[in-house]
Amino acid sequence: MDFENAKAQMRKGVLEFCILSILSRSDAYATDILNKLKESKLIVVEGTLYPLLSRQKNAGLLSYRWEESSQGPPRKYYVLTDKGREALKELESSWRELIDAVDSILRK
Amino acid sequence: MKKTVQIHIGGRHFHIDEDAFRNLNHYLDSLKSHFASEGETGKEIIEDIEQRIAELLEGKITETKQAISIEDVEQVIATLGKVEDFVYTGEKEETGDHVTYDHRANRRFYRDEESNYIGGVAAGLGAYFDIDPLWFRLAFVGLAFVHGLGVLLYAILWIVVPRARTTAEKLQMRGMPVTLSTIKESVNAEYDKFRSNLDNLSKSGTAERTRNAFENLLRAVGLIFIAIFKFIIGTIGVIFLVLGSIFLAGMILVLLGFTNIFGHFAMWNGIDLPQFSHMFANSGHYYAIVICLVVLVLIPIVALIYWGIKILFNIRSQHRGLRAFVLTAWILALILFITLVILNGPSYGLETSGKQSVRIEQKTYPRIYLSVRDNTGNKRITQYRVFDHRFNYSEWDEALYSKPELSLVQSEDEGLYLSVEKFANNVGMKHSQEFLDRINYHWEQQDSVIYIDRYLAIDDEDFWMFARVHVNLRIPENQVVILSGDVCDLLENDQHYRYCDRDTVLTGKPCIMTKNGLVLQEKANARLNRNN
Repeated sequence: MDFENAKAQMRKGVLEFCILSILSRSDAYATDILNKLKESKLIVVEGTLYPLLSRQKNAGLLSYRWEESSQGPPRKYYVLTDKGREALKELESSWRELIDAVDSILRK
Repeated sequence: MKKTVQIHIGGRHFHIDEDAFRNLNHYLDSLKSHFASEGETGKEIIEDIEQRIAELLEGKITETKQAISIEDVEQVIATLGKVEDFVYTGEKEETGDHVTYDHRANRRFYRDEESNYIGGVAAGLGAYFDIDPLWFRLAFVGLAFVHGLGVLLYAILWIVVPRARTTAEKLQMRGMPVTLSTIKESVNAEYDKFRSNLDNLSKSGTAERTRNAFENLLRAVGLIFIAIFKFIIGTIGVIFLVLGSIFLAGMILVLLGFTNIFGHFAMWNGIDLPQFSHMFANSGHYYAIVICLVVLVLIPIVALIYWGIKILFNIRSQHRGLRAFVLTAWILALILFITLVILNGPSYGLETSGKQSVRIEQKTYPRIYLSVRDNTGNKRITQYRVFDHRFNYSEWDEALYSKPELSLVQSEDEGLYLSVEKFANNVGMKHSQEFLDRINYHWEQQDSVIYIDRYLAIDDEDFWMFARVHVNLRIPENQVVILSGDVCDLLENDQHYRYCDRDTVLTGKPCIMTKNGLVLQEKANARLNRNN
């Protein structure tokens, strides 16, 4: 049986949740997000992040602004939109539910 | 020694070994082909990844190692991962779900000194509201006429609003629908400029440097000239536009029948196109002439507006076909107009007259009184003079008042006649009577007193007829007449000279009609006595 797709979907869902919750703390540019995700070993290859950001942006969960940087060209800072905040809330509650559910099953 | 190439990536410049470049290129190609199906979103993803690649590559450069090696690229690729490793499943199901977040939230108001005419305020406003700056320019110009409000407002904004200096500011000024390629392009352009300056400088040698200084000076002078030129051209554009718009608005108003746009000018009060073309009303070419006139006037006005817009927008489009067509149309209209005017010339130039004679009921009044009645009703009458024509105009009833010409002659029979001869210009032949009927001159007889109006009143719409009347009073021989003093005002030149001369004023005294005209009764009696 092929678990790859299931794993990928799971990771993708968790990653999206994490991106939103990182941005809920403060606006950040891609590298900031990458660093946080790598710290917690959530991401293996950096390339994964960009399509996700782009997807969330297209879904209206994020927007971005350009900010001048002291080193190099301007950076794209991602900002959580109101819609994104709502989505985050929903994901948070369903995440808790999921963990409880999975825990209760695993403990048995 | 390895061959290195120079690349632009993520807004940065790198020297990179050739093999490393090939490797990187291959990687980017694989990304591109993977995301190609997602259009704009795909491009954006690639750009973001390129940005990250640049960032990572920058970390590989040290004091001693300026060029990117193949190992560096391999590490970068490993960090970012191959497309296959991306936790990513196709987003086909969501391609229709497009962005609707608020672009404006990301916008800031900056002055745009890249597309400015003066301080870039209008350009900045235009960028902010995503409207063509032209409208703001026009608004400022328009407001400038309101106690200089526009100038003040502009000056304040100029001082208060910051100039968009950095790339990010420039992008923010325009709001968010910005792709990374735009920013990359502008950054690259700036970088290239900077680099070429550096290169120039590094080519050592004072001669070279002085030459550069000269070049820079020349370039600066050139830029100043270009700025001045741009400003002048822009001003001309605005003037064209404003003038054209005013003409157009005026013409539309006139065509709609608002004839009072010229304000208090009595002379102009009556001129509007349809009225003017009344001169041709009889010819049957009325509408043709009106259309010709409209085309003749409209085309230059529209052309003026078009040129104004072209200059302001810096449009270089050449609609040769359109221009030729418009020019041909205008010339045809001109030819047609001239032809019609020539065709209608004879009737146009004619002066028409109509005479109405009335025999006044004549009992044998021993004395007849001729008196002038003021028919202005104490309205204020202003006199205007246009070329050789004098107009007495009353604003109150919008009428033109002109004096009739009076002559007193001997009647051929025993009757007392009063005839009013009306003259009208430009009414043509066919409908002349209709126009003559519009000239109303009043007089009245009450017993032995004949009152004639002091003025011929003409509706100002009919001013173009240049109407006048001649009043002819035919008095039988030996009839005693007493003229009131103001009759002198109306008497035709010759009689005025004879009857109203200071030495021999006939007014107020009984006169009799003789073969030689009016004479004082006492003089006539004296002569009669002498003859006897």
